[in-house]
Amino acid sequence: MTWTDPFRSWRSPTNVPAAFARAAGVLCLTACVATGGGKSETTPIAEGQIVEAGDGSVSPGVVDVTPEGTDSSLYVEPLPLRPIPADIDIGERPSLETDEAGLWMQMDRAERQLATSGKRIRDPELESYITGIVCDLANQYCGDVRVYLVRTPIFNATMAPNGVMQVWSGLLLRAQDEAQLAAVLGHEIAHYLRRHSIKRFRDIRSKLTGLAVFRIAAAVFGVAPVGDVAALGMMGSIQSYSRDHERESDFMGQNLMVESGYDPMAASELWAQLNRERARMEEIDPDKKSPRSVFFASHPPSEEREENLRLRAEAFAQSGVEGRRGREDYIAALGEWREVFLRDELELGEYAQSEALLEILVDSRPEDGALRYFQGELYRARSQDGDADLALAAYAEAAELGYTEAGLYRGWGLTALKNGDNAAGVAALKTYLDLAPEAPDAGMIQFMIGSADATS
Amino acid sequence: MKKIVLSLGLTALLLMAGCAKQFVQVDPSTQQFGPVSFTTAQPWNKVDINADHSMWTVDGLTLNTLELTGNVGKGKRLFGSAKTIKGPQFDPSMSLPEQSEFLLASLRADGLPNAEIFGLEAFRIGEIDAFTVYFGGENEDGLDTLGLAVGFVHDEAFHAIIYRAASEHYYEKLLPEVTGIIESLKSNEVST
Amino acid sequence: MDTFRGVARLSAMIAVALVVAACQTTSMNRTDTLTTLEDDVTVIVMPADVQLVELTAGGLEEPNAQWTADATGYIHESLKSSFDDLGLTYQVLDLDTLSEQERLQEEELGKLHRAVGASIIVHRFLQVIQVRGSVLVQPKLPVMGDKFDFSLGDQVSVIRDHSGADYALFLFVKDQYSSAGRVALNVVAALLGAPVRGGSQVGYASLVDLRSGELVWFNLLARQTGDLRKAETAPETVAELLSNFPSKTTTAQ
Repeated sequence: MTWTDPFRSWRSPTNVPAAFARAAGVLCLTACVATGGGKSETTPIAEGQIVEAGDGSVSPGVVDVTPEGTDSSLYVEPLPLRPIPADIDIGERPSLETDEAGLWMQMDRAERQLATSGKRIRDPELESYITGIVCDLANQYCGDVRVYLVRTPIFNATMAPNGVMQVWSGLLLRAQDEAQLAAVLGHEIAHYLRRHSIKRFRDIRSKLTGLAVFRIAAAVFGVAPVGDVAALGMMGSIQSYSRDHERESDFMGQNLMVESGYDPMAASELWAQLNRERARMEEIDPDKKSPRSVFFASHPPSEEREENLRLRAEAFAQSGVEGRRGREDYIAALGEWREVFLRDELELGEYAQSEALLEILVDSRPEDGALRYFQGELYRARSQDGDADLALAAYAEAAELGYTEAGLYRGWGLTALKNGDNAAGVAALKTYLDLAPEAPDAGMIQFMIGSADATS
Repeated sequence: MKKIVLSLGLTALLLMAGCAKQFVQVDPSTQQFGPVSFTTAQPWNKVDINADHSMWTVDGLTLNTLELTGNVGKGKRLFGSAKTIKGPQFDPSMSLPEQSEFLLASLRADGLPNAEIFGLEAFRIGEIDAFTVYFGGENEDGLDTLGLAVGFVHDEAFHAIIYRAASEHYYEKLLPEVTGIIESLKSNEVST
Repeated sequence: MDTFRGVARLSAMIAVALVVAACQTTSMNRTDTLTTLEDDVTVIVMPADVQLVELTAGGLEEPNAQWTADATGYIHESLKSSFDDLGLTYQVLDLDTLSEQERLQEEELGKLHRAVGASIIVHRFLQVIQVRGSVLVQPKLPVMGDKFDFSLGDQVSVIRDHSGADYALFLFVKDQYSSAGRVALNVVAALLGAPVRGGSQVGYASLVDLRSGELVWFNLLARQTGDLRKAETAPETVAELLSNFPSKTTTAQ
């Protein structure tokens, strides 16, 4: 094991070099991945299992940041602040005969598949922006981490043992600034630096051996259901082991943020925002307990993370650490992708969640016409009593805020037509066609205009 | 892990109960699909998923499929089965462009994450207002895929015929047949 | 059995996985629109896709990098000697010699080849699949019957133009071995009458005509024997994979 101190010159909260605190001027050139959810644990496939296809699940060995319960014998204390050493050399590759090399080999295969997957966002500019943040955070390890942006509207990021980091679009949509994104990227880098994948793999391997023995006994003695219960218990034990890794990564990731000159409070804020999104969603639709994201099922732990990261950020602040947020840079870097991600979010059909998320985003950026437009699109899609009026109001607000994309007039026109206001509907759809004469649905929109004209 | 055991158990039960399904051959003929009918000009392999949903193929499910999914009522999803991302639910108040949005979003949730439309037109099947849409994207394995679909609402329920195939060789191979099927669509209701 | 997980992922609507032929102990062959190769043909070998994993006592698949590296070497050595026997010149496609554009086209070709391989395996060899949540048993395609008619389209020209070869040979192997702990467990389990599944060897080889794009030959191996970890035993597996490989009209010795 090599002891590389990611803190370099920094040793304790009372000895923070000024350069460390003022790295704000440095342009971030790196990005990594964070996690939180879709498919929960990426446990190995047991024999004879029916594998669900196309679920976006990852291969064994990918560490995912889904938080779970709080009990643990290896509980990591948030305070006092302390450096966490890296556990892997720069440019290190495991030697061929090790179990770790096997894991890497498998992830190299997965990487080739990911590289050409339709889910991958292939935009050199956005990729280089996020890779830049990752490189900054990972520092000397920059060359060991490879970032893949994944178009999945779920708050999540993953880190594989070979340094392949996935950043899901649901995370990119939710982060409000570069610092918040860096919190997750730092967390994922920490998984890599601490070799969490192989540790977890070994843990699962030893626990599953015990399980197999138990199952045989259960089968022989005709108590199969007990075997199943044992399996669930074993999974609980594996998850508790991984929770310790999550805490460690949270703290180490926050350390990396500080070192790169980001405001460490952003890490806590991101969790706070997710907690708020969940709470608001449950308020809007009490029947929605835990939707698609496992993240949301883990209510108390995400509050624990928010709290621990806040305590640490306050301690950093007391020792004189300040940091930058990179808010406008971040929104600018997302560019047109932000609207693609908003569209994908709405297409989930999880309207309570989308409504909660949009409220939070609008709160934070009230001047942003695009967000109002997507609120309109949400109401148009939900289409319950009163939603048409809400949609029309949101479209009008978007226009007032200076939003001029053609899609606004498409949504506006279709909603007006549905509301029986043919004149306004036809006018808006004509504006849409003026702005986007080559739109792939131009033929259909012409037809809608024609039908509305015929009936008015 | 519990799910694994359940899946295995369920499979065994289905096998024992004789519920398991197989592909059957469909020779050129006129076929019923909810309120409409269409004509095929070449043999297909077909398996019925349920009374409203069938899957057709010529060269195999990974190369080309024609999926007929009908009677998708209010609050239902186009492809039904549970996945991480389920896709939106149907609402009978959807206009034609909104029905096509519903179809596209369902495709994106169903293995074509970056699907985009190339052309969307209104289409009539007797008295029924329908749409046709050309689309394309890469599936989760990165295989370049093209498709063509027709969709419509009848009796408050959505119906769609969706063709998808590998863009190289296999899409072109069945395109005349699929175009023929769509052009042959007739409403079963006698127009007045 | 996550051997076919990749296959399963090829289409979101299909879930596969139960056992291809976990109960088969012999190799299976599916050949033939072609039993002989013309004289003077050249066959380029695509880099073999090889993966060796260990099945731990707990049923966890543990990929083994050392075995995989060794096996890849043995396979190419055995292939070379098989080619010598067949009177064919042995030539492996070196991906590093492709231009970036060619590399992209080669990748696209690889993806379609995997989809075709998946179609053949799903519809000819698998016992059970799930389609849209429905269980299909022996999902054979009646229209296709035993006909063998698959193409990779015009994009094969990238390999033909680059290598000048007439055919390309694709090879995929995944081998699973029981760990010592697994073997011990197996013995105990067998004594108690509750068998634990052992290792398996699954692979396929296919020959593509680079002039027409047609798949002319396909061979699937699915059995519970075979060992690619040793130089002495690896040739047996390669020979099985190439059994019924079309011979030349006049075989040179």
